[in-house]
Amino acid sequence: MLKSSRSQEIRKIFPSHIGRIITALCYVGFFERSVLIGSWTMFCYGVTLGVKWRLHTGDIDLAVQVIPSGKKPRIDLERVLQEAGAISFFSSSDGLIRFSIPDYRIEFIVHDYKGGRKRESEIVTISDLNINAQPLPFIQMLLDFSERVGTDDFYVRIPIPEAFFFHKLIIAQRRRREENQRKDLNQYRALSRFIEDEKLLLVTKAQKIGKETKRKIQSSCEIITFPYERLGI
Amino acid sequence: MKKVKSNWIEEMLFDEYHQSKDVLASLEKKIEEYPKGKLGFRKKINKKYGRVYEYPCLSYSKNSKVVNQHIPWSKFSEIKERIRLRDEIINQIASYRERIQYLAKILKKSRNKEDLS
Repeated sequence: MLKSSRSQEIRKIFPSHIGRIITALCYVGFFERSVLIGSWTMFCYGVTLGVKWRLHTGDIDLAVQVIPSGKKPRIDLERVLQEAGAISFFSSSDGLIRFSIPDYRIEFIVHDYKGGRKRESEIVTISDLNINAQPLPFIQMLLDFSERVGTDDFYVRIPIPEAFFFHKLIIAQRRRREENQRKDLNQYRALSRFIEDEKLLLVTKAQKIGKETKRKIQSSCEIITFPYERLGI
Repeated sequence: MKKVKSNWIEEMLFDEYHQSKDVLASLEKKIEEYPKGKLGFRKKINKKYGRVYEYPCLSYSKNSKVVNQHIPWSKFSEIKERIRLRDEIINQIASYRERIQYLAKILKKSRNKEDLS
């Protein structure tokens, strides 16, 4: 549990217009299950762990927990976000509906159950939330191993550092763009000294990892000189 | 002219530049769905009954002429909301244009003109 002063600091890391969006999402209970991922998570770790991080992109990535039908509360997220000042727009390049707030873009991501075999262009419609989302592999571990940070009226759910770190080890080698590979590399290098072995093992043991993915993880570990054995896979 | 070798931060800025351009294009397309002009009121005097009738109208220019389009009261709040959203989009378009200009200024030291087109 975070100390109250630290909880208050979570609000301060976001510019006011992003803060408005997060408040609106908290109000409808979005972060009860869904998770903030991407570079903004590193700023949250700055508050919770003291990770020093200064760079973020214009993307605000939100991983959505898809709930089995029958248990779904209907939330019109498009409306919620629009009322908080975001504008939805359709990206013709990938078919995704993103939300724009000055200088930032919000996009939704879901776990790709087809293990990456599904083409990236196949966008998933989440009708209960009135949004669509991009399916990406290995997102489920970020949703399954997450924690809530912030105060009662302003909080976000973020992956625990061990899950975020392990996810980075996997995806860094899958990145096609070199700049993303290097950004990932820097993120997990900054995070590696805060990793607790016990929690890391909990995360890694819960994943089904294929031979090829193991090889990629090993390669990532070599790059950042992180002992592969600590992963226990 | 030989350009300096890029680093990963510069690559990120370059990526951001292109993403901002994509958003700008999408927002410019989206704004076409919204009503043009300014919402106002006009008065019409009914001389026969000596009454003044006030009605909302949308004023915009078309082919260099000002058009005052009558808006029924039933659609007034809906159009008012759409105009508010349109103005929000206009603000964001301006913000993205500024951002693109700023990024282009940084990137032109190390990138060729064609990359920033």
